[in-house]
Amino acid sequence: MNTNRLPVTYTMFLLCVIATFNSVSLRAQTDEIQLKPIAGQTTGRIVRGTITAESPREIKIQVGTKTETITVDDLADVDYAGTPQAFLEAEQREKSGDLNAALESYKRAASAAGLKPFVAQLVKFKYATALADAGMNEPQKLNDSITALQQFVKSYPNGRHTALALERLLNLVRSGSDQSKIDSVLTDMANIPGNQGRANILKAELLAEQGQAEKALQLLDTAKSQIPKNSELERLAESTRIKVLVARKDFTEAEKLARTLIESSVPNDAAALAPAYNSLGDCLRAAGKPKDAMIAYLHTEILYDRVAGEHARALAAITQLWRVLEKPDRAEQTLNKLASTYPRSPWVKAAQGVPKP
Amino acid sequence: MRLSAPNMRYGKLLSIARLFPILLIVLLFKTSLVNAQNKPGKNVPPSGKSSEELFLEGLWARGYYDLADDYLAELKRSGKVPAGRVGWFDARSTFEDASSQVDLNRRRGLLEQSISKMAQAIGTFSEPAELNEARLVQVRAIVELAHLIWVESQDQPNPSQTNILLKQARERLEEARKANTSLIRSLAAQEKGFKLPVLPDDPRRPDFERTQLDRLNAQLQAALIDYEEAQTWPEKSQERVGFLTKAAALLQKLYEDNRQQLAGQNARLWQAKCLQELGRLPEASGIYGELADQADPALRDIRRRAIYFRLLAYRDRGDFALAADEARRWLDSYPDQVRTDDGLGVQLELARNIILQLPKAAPNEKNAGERMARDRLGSVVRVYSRHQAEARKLLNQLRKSAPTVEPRKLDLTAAMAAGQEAMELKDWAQAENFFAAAAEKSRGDKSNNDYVKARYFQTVALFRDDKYYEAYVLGDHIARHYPNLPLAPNAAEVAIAAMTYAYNLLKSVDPASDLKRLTDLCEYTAKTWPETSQADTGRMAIAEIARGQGRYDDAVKALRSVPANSEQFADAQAKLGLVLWRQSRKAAETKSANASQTSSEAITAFQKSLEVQSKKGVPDEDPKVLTTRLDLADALIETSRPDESLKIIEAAEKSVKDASAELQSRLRRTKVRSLIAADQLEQALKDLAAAESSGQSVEELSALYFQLGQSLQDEMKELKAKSDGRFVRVRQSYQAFLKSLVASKAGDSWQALQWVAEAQIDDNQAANALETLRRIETHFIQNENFANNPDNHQRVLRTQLKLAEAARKSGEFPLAASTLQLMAKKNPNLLPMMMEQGYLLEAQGKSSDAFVHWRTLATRLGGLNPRPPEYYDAWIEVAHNLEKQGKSATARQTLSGIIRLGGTKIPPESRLKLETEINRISSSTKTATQKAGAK
Repeated sequence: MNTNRLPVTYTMFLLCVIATFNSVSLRAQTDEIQLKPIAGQTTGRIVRGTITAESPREIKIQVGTKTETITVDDLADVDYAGTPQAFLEAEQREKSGDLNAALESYKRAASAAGLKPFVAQLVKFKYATALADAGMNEPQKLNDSITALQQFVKSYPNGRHTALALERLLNLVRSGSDQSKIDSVLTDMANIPGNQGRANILKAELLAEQGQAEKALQLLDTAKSQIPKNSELERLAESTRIKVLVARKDFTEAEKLARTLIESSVPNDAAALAPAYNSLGDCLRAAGKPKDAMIAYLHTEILYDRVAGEHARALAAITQLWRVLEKPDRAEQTLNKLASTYPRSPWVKAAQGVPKP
Repeated sequence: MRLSAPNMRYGKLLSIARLFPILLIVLLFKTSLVNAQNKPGKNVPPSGKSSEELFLEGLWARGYYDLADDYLAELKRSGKVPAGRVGWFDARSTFEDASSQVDLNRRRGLLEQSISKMAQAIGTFSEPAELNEARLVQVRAIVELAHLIWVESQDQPNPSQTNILLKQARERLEEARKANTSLIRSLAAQEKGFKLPVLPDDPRRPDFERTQLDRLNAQLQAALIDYEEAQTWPEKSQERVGFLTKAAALLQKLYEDNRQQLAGQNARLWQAKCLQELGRLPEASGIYGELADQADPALRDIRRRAIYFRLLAYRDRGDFALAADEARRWLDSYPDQVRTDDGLGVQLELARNIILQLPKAAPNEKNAGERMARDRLGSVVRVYSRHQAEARKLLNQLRKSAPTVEPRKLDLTAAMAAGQEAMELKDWAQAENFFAAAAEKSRGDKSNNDYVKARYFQTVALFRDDKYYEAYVLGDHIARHYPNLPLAPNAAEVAIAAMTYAYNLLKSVDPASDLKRLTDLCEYTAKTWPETSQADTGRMAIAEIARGQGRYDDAVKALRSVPANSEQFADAQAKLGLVLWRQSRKAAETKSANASQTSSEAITAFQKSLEVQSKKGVPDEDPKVLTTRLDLADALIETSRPDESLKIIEAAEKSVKDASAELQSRLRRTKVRSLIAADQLEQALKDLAAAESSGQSVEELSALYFQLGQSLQDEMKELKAKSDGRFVRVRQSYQAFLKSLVASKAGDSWQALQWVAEAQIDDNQAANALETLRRIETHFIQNENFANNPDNHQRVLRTQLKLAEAARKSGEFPLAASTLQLMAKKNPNLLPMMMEQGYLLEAQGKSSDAFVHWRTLATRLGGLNPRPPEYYDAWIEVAHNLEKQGKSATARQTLSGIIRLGGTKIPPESRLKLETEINRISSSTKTATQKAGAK
């Protein structure tokens, strides 16, 4: 037996333990920002330090003696030091779709002792959005979720998450009939630095829904200068323009733009593709091509169902198209799916209506 | 021509590259082969097998079936091994390949091919040892096929499908039994041929021992065939008990006579299994115990199986805990056997015995037990085996009682596994949900492999759930966005199938858009992965669409682009033949010059398809082969090669026994056509008589008779027009045919008899027609049930009318008159009857009455708008009567007046009749005038 080997192995083991301990303790004491990968890389750079400030446009992080500023467009992920265990647990539960359990965990995370301000802000934001998600299926939670989001916006008017919170809030209030509430949310959003373009795009979409397509187009033209080139926002503006064109019954132009957007987007860009396919479906339906339209809507139904509003819209259209295709059983099946997944969606009522070829 | 050189070089390189792995394996094998060959005085390895066979066995054992095929092709080219032997190796290779297939359809196809190839190869063997061994393997293959069909039968949605498969399994077992019995007889005779004694140092000893061993194995096989057949009958049924008892007795005898042999011990094991299934558990357990205690390493396999069978006996007697423990021990002791058929059986038993203990288990034990049972059953359902269907049932029961799993809560691995399990359980909707969740979980995967895998299986689940548009969208998405990933062409193939189904199911709305989508995807598939089978699927679909749309040139182009080495080449050639044939018919209609060339190309394509199918070993019974044969036979008839057509049909007749009723009927119809074309009318009639005596259905017989009758009528018409001397003979056959039809079962219907009667009238056989019509009267018209049925009202009238006509033409005027009177009482205004009244008056020579009748009728019909053809016929008859009265000029003027009055409203056929009649009257008047002048 080689007795000399034991001490070497033991030393190596100790070194490993120390290294692991150091890494854990280091991680526990520093904030970590993961950047989006730049062209040619598969993972982005990681910046470790202490986050000193956050705004809707950027984050400041102190690395050693230097302060680094990172714009929110470059962010992939932020990991705060001192994040309570309950928060991680809540995120996990939310991911797995167990929203009620997630809300409980967020509540526990919010009451954890010694929360740093940015962590507290994040916990409240996540709680409010999870509550909004739960409100989609449980109408009794709707008012609570609106209140939670409003409180969040009020508490953090210049927070990094405020614009997103307002967008969620807009989604909740737009189904109601109180136009002043909608306007107020849009105004708040436009007042957040860097979010004027997004606010205008969302407003254009609402105008189109209200039958003011011309105004909507004008607004989108105005917003062009507020939108960075080749950004997600630019694609959102484009898909909104298509929707507006559909609302204006300019199907030829809308179909052309929709096909261009579909061709130019990466296949997993659900935010751009879901509305684009739905608009394409609308155009094809209007052109008397029910099967082509069905294929377009099915893209949203199968591939981009995580974009809830568009998914509901697609399900409603598919329900009606099954009726046109004389498949009432499939229509019923799809309507049931729509009603059970999005019970509060206005598309449920639309789907029950008389089909148009 | 300049392009072909590099292509050839490339082809050669490819073939060298293909053989490279073989060379590597040869090197691996080399040592053992050299050692074997080095033994003094031996030119073949000690097993008695040639080095080629040993090498092939090595390839099969490692699953290198493609390499085995390449090696076989090389052997064939080199000519070192006789062609028959290579054919045998090829059959064996297919058999081994079949055993490794998970896809049941593919496995069945390969087994059928191997059995057919074996039969061909065995025909070339003459050396007894070689022949015996081959026949033993052949029987084993047939039993395996029967077993596979039985497994399939256990997983059918309804009892009728199950019964069809069980019947097929029994037929195969019967086939195996016959082959095995003949083998046993032959081996026994060979054994007797050895002059005894054959001592250990006798040079004949190895052959003697081998013959004995083969005989013993064949006898064991005979018992196992009975055991397999017992499985195809319901539990406790007389048949099942009978087969098990018979097998048990045979196995006991085998054991008693050969205790020291491995086959004897095997017989003992299966004897116990039969006893167990006969409910004689203590006896069976005793034998299992005895075998399980055997320490001889040579009996390891038998011991292992005995323990497995013993745990089944424990379960049968209610010792679930003991059975579960035994199953666990088995799985721990034989980890390398876990995925074998027995291993899967043991896993199933472990799960089953755990489930059986659950009602008495504590809540926490219950959860753990359910989980464990579920895991084991999940492993069993994922692999093809005889236990799969049973495992599926149990797993479904467990799933129903377990709480629902939310797919989104699962991680990627769990969601994929749950999806696979749901697929195995045919719960397509649930599978789709799990795979959708898995796709969602794999979004971070940079390679997209997991994403595409999940989406591909989701596509399959959607397709199986009959959601064809959804399956198309997803399959098309994968194919177009991830073309470099291995599953992309498969996804395209599913999408093609899905869109084809969607098109077929929803043709009522905008079918053109479906066809466009399908064509686009097929073209994309053929272009993106040109060398794959999916590309060929695409090409075939493009051709099918083009053919359906009458774009024959495009269809031909697409079918010709399916390469000769494609699995679908034979199919493509068969379809090419059909398209070319249609093209040739179209060309023939327009009297185009290339009609004949196209039809001969069609025939060549059919022949090529059959040749390829035969080379592949596809059995003659295969519906596609039969269909192509009939297509070829049809084409040969039309191209005046009926003798060749008959040969094809005679070959097809040998393999049509198990074919669908539709195919069998088509074969008979084609045969009748061939016989007529080959001028063998008597044979056609004999065939019809034979078909009737063999219990052919009345509908089928009627169809055949009418077809033959129609063909004869057409032929007579043609011969008459050509003034062909054969007309008289064909007419005789036709008359014989009509008599046969009346006498046949098919002639038992009103339709058949009426058709015969009318055909006889048309053929100037008025007396025969009258006889037939009287028969109709007796059997049908006088039958109250028939006559009082309102649906038969028109039929009664038609028979009476034809009876009057036949009576008139036979000179039986009173009968004709009374029949017409009877009709007139009920239907005084029936036009055909009024016409017949006129004809009768004429036939009776009552010219003036006839004249009045026709003129009254013609005037009456003149009031109708539009005027029926009978109006013009009545005027022609008026003219006839005027002519008879010597008023030819008035007759001609009358008809001319009718033509003038009618103008363009006169139907062309009636105008022609009128004009012909005017010309006839004119010419007969002229002749009469000339004759008078001459006098």
